[in-house]
Amino acid sequence: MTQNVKADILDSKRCQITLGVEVPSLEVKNEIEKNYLKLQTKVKLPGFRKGKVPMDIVIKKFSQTAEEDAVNNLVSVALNQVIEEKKIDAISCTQIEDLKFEKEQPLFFKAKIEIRPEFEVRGYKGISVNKKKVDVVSKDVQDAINNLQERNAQLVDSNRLIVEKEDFVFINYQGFSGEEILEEWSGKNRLINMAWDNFVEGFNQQLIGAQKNKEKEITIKFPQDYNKKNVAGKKVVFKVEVLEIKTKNLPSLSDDFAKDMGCSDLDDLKKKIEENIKKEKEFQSKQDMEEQLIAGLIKNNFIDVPSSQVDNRLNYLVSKAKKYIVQQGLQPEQAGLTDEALKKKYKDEAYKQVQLFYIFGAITQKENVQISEEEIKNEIEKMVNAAKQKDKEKVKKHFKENKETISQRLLEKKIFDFLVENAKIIKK
Amino acid sequence: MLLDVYQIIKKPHITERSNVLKSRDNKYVFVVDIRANKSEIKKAVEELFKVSVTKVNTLIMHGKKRRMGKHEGMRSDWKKAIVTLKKGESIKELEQA
Repeated sequence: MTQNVKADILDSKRCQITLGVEVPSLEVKNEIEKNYLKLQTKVKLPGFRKGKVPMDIVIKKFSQTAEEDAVNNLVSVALNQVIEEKKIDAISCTQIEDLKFEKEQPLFFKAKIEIRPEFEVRGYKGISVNKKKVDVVSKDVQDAINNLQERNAQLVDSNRLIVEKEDFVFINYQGFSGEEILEEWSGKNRLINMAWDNFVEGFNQQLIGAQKNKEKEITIKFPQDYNKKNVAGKKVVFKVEVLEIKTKNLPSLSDDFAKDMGCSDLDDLKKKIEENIKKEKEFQSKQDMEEQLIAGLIKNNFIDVPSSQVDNRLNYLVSKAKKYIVQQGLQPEQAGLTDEALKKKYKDEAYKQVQLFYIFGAITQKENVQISEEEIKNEIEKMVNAAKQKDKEKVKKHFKENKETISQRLLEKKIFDFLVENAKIIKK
Repeated sequence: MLLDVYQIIKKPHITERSNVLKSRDNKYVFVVDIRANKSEIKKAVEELFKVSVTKVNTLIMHGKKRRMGKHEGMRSDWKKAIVTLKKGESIKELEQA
């Protein structure tokens, strides 16, 4: 448009400035006229062919449309121009207010604009972090092997007729509240792990000593605050029939077991487990360090960030969390996680992430960190090879389309490496 | 007189043609009651818009055939009046903005 747009910065605080913008009346008039001309070619009125409606009638009938359009257009054009002229590093315009428009008068409005936070990144070198020592003790390995055994355990029939503490029991059961059968507390062929009291509290305790193929009554008094309302505070009698009693049979530690696990022998298995544990611990220690670095960075560079970006990030985090909950087979509302609760939970995190985004950006610029095409290509190659999918070409294509993300991730990694290099590492 | 002025003159007839007549010949076109005659229309326009009328031409527009499914019907006939004003006068109510 024009040189004549007047603009003042009325207010500036916390990444948000308020601009007062005035567009001269001539501009407004021109804009409206332009709109009329445009409308004239478009509108259709009874009695006139399209495009043949005389101007005076267009003006009479469509003045509101034309003026509204003109104002909308002028506001955005003027705003863009002002932003460019004043070299404002704008992110978004959150609000237009105090819009004053009258015919033959200058147009005036206030705009709230969010700007990129300006700050000098400091203290990103020499952040002191505790580095956990990575060492694998034999107990870790033993635990892992025990775990592996547990997982490959098989249930075998025990020849006993009486239920004992560590057994696995298949039962039919019916729950009664007085005379009434409770359908949701009845079932057939349910597996009860005696060592894990997860069915109803106190149930397993009473099941000990039950005889196979005989019925036993178990009485449970549900606590007042039990989460299922219909039984809370009530006494429920379960009629239980024990169908089978099984015990867990752990595979013995032998070369055969190792072979089943895909290793050549027992020593090999142990070695592999040790390696895995070491890798995991190293990863954890690295993550731990990264978290400390992030905390340090934010402490040294606590900046104000635009709230709209925080909101965006927050929405993203919340939707991600919700998706995760749904994947677990829960309804978010049921789990007591309404949008509000989630938002509250992730508010600080979102703020932190946006801060970090800017801090990283500043470090990138200051230290001139760059990611070359070559690096991206190598990374893609690596990821393609690691992918389990058969169709490697497809995978490659997918990654290539997401180059931006990959390069962003590489950059982040590089910065972390840089930070770690320059950090004061305290070994523990 | 049977009809009052508001009943005689129903509305201005605004079309491309009427627009041309207005700007070229200072003629105004109205939709009028089909029973009204020229002298009544002249009086009505003069009273309503406070102008002097030099001539009134009228014609009856025949209603078009319209059909809703199998039911055929006619739109009503109506009278159009072309009113010429004295030179230099105009009806400001019908001048746009």
